[in-house]
Amino acid sequence: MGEQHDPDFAVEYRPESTQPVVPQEVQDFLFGLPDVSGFRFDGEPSEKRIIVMIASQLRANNLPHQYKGYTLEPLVTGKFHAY
Amino acid sequence: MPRVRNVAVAKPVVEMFAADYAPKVGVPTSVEGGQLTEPMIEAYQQLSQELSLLPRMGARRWVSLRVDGADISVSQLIIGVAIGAGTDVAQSKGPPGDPVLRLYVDKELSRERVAEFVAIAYDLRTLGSGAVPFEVVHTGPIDLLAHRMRMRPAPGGISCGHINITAGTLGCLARGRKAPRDGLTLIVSNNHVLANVNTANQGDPVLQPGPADGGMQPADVIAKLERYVTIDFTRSNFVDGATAAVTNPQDVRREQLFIKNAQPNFLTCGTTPAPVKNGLIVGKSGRTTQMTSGRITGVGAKIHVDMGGGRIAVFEDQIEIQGITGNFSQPGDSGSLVWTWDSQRLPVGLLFAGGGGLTFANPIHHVLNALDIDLL
Repeated sequence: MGEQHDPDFAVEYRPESTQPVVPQEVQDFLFGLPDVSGFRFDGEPSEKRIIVMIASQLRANNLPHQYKGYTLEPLVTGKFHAY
Repeated sequence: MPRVRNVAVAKPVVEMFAADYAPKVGVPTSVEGGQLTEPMIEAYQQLSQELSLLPRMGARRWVSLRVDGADISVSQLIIGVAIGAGTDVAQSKGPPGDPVLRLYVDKELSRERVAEFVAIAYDLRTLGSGAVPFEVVHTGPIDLLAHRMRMRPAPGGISCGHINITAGTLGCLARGRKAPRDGLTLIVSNNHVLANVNTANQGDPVLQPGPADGGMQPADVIAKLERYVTIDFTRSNFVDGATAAVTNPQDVRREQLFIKNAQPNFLTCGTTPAPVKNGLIVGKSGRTTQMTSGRITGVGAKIHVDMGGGRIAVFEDQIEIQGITGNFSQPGDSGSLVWTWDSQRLPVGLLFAGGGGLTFANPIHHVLNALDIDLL
């Protein structure tokens, strides 16, 4: 942003997530891996399965199967772009 | 949004929105591959004229052909004609690049059947005799690209955008929850569509259609940027949203656009957000892929999104959608309202990103709360 904006014009929005959130430690691990585009729970959080969206098949092949008791399931998606 | 290339498109044969614009169309005399023959020019002229008469005159509608057990009329079969360089040697029976007549057809038929049909319907026998080399191009129905054109009043699902972007989608209409914004008619779309990812200024013009679709100021200004939710590149975001105040409320309509039988149609969406759940069938109307249906395949997704120029923003609590048949969205669909695919069509989300066959939308309750608006 190159200039000051009226706070009623450029608003901030910091809500609570309305869906179950992957534990921060697991988030940090996943986003620390190369080419991870995103993740979400697969099913109920109690099932401890996480879909990991990942940019390439090669990276997906190297994704650990488990982390901190969570099963990691790769989904090759490429990278995400604003449409 | 990131700049996307402006895709060149074939002009529709039926100029339904330009009924009062009928200039004389010149006939090409050559293409890159060589000179056109007299029979080819005559065939092109005759077919062009016949096609332009069809919608108004019902010319030769009694001529039909049995295809797959059903009778189809000439107006259903041949939907366009052009002259171009040959691309299919087996069809044109000439060297590659030689001029050919190109016939656009709605149904997949052999060139022999098409030639037979043309001979019967138009008394034009030079195709069947071999005097005019031609290729049959199976296009299916040719849309009017109505989602990219200027339309007043402008519905949801149509092209729009800030003057410095390419094009996105006008999602829906809203009003502010508190005075004085409760007196405004607001367009809802993405920050990256209406506010060019935090870089726009209050009051900047918003064009319909968007610049990539030919929108120019001042003629196509439909609204002025009113508010956006800042996209933070240092922490998680929930919403890629913005509003623009409509200059003249008569210039917009609250329905969503869809094309049926090459005609623009409109459907109304509810205004009360629907609960988001896995497996829910949803729809959207967007500038690029028009009306599509999809299934919510995930909720609570946290994703990295390239907002253009390699700038990555993190979004959390997002809805993941996959198309039922083909992609649910493509670049240019950003800003589309996502709604339940049922008779109520309740709002679910605001489409903003995608890739790898997945589409992502902000939950609509986040959008409404962030922008402090209610849908109209």
